[in-house]
Amino acid sequence: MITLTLYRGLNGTNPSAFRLDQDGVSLFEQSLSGYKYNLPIRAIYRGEKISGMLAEITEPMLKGGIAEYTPQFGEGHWSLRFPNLSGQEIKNLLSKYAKDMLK
Amino acid sequence: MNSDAEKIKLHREILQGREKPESFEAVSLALSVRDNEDRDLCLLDTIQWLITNENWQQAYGTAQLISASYEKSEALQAVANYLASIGHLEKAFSIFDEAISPSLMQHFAEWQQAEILHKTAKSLRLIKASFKADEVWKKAIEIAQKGEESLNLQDSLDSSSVLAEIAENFAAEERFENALKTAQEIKNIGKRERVLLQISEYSERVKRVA
Repeated sequence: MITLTLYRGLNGTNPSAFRLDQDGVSLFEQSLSGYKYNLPIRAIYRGEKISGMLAEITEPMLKGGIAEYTPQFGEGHWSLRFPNLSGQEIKNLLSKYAKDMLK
Repeated sequence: MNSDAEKIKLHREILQGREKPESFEAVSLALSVRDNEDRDLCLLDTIQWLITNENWQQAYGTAQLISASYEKSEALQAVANYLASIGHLEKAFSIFDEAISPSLMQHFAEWQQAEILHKTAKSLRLIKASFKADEVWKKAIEIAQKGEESLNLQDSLDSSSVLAEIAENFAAEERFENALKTAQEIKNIGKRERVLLQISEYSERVKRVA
């Protein structure tokens, strides 16, 4: 089992700070420069890290979240999804988590 | 009651708990939240609640109290959408313009500017203001393409993501030429390939129906 920390660069913590599309929310293996905050999100996966590999989000507030390794979108890129939530619910949840972690 | 958390909780209770609460109470409580971002969110919630209660004048007035942020743009859009829905088109157009004014959007990331412009264009299209909608889409595409040039991978990718959404929207409207033109210029290969596939699926569906 491998633990990793993924990052989302943020200049604010409101839901509007999270871009969400059909691929999910973009996260990166490295922290990003040029942002006010770097939001850390911990996850675990098993086996070899190949494109399409899934990791389980282990942050208690983000239970149910799944990150897919998607290097086709950029180096160290993961796509975060919450299969049982609507788009607005996902943004609200991530905003709540960001406020809890960063403020 | 001193903490923002307590104020936000009470604010939520006010909006959820009563059918016709005093709007000034909700606005006043929202304004007393110290954290700028939380205050803007509370004001945005108040505005959405005022619109639900068909009080667009107070909603519009409250929108002016939000700081220059994405939430202000969203609030103004909500008011404009409501006005359009009740046939007050002239006022709606004026508020849509306000929601996407350069002086307000200069505070957003490029992908956020493109995203809010895309939302506005979709609203304009719904009320058959197609020429104006296309003007707004053109601007959204230009800004997103500029955002793609960012050295920051996340900002660049989020801009590509907005372009993919715009291209898919064109395809859903069966405007395949616009969809392809927008999609083919997307910088990120992953986003470009994904949306090109979607456009092809839309196109096939239309051919099957025809």
